Amino acid sequence: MPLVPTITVVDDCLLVGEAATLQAQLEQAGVACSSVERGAEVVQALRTNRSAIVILGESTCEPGLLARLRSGFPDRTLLAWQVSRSTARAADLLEAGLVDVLDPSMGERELVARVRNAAERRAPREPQAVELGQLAVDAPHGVALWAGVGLGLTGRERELLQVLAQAAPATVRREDLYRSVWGYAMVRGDRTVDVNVKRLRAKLAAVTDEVAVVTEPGVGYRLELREADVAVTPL
Amino acid sequence: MRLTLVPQTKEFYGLFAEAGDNALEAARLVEQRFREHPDTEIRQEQVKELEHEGDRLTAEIFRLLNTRYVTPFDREDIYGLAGAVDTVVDQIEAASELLDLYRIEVPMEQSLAQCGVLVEATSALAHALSGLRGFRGIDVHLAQIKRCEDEGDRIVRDAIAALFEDEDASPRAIIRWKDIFEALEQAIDACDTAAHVLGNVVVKNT
Repeated sequence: MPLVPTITVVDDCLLVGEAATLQAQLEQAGVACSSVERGAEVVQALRTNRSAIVILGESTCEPGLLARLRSGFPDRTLLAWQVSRSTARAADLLEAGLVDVLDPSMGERELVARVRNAAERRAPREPQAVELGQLAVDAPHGVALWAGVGLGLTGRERELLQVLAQAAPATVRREDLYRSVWGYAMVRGDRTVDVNVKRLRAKLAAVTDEVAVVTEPGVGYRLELREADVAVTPL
Repeated sequence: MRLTLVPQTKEFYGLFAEAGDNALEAARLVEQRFREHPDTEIRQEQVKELEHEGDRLTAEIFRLLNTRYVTPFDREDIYGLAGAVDTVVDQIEAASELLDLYRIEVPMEQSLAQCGVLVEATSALAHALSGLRGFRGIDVHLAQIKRCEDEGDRIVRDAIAALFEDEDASPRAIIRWKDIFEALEQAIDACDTAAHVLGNVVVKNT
């Protein structure tokens, strides 16, 4: 499901009124918003909320949560909302990886402009269909072909192949494969990725020896093409 | 019901040996089912058949108990031992059923380790039950079952801890796997319970 240009306002601040004011300003400017009250709820909310932009109340911007948001939802743009302007704190937040820091000293036009700029700068990270030599994969549309012939993959196998093809020739960690395809953190001992890769390998081997999934022990997998000068081409 | 005065103790020993072998077969079947899942040809119905066989053997032991005046050891111990061995197979079948009930995609490594320990424990139990006549050579098998129970405890603690290491793990996966880990652990513990009963029998009769 593609991300939508709505904005989630997350405010753990006691001054709830200010967050509501920001939300009303943005909605008045034509930007759709939703909200959660506490930082502890944002990870769960983002699993179903497709907002492209997340504005975090300053007090929710603790390193653990920021790390989880960046690793779990790399396709979202994170901004911060300060209750009162502090250049030192703003610098900390920007250095922590937030795209912008907003505060009430900004007029309505500036606030909306900054948020719109952040939305426009955001590069969508939806899975992109990919062509790799004679391999063509477009998992959301059920496509996985070798030389124009269907590979007979299941949905999971297609998604795995797409992630590997997009990253090729780099190795993708098991944990990242699991997160990308199954949407959650991988539990230690879970063999789901390994078993699905094994099946994928068998189906690829049944049609060609020119592409293979290679294991990097202790790390993950990578897709290797045994042709020269192949380019990864988005479809 | 007419009671027989002539001792027919070998029937009891034969039935206990069969019950032990049945428990081992159930453990091996479930271990293979976990290892090969979801590409296994072993169906839950096959495991259920072994559970029914366990019930049949237990019922036969109870029937003998009610029709024999002389028993090879205390009636209450025969009753307790038969029930304990039956519980082993029941627990094995219950754990195996969860693979289908929870629509498990791929069994976790820790569950395969548990299944391995379960096979070892039931193997030791089967050997102990086969040696019931004469009460000799049983202690070594009971010690093995105890080691398996300790190993099972270690695996299940680590397995459950792994489920909670990352807050972003799937809640459904946590629910499913906590249940399965605990079900397999109960099957291993059931072997230890049977071993305790057997141990008491040995102490009383030697």
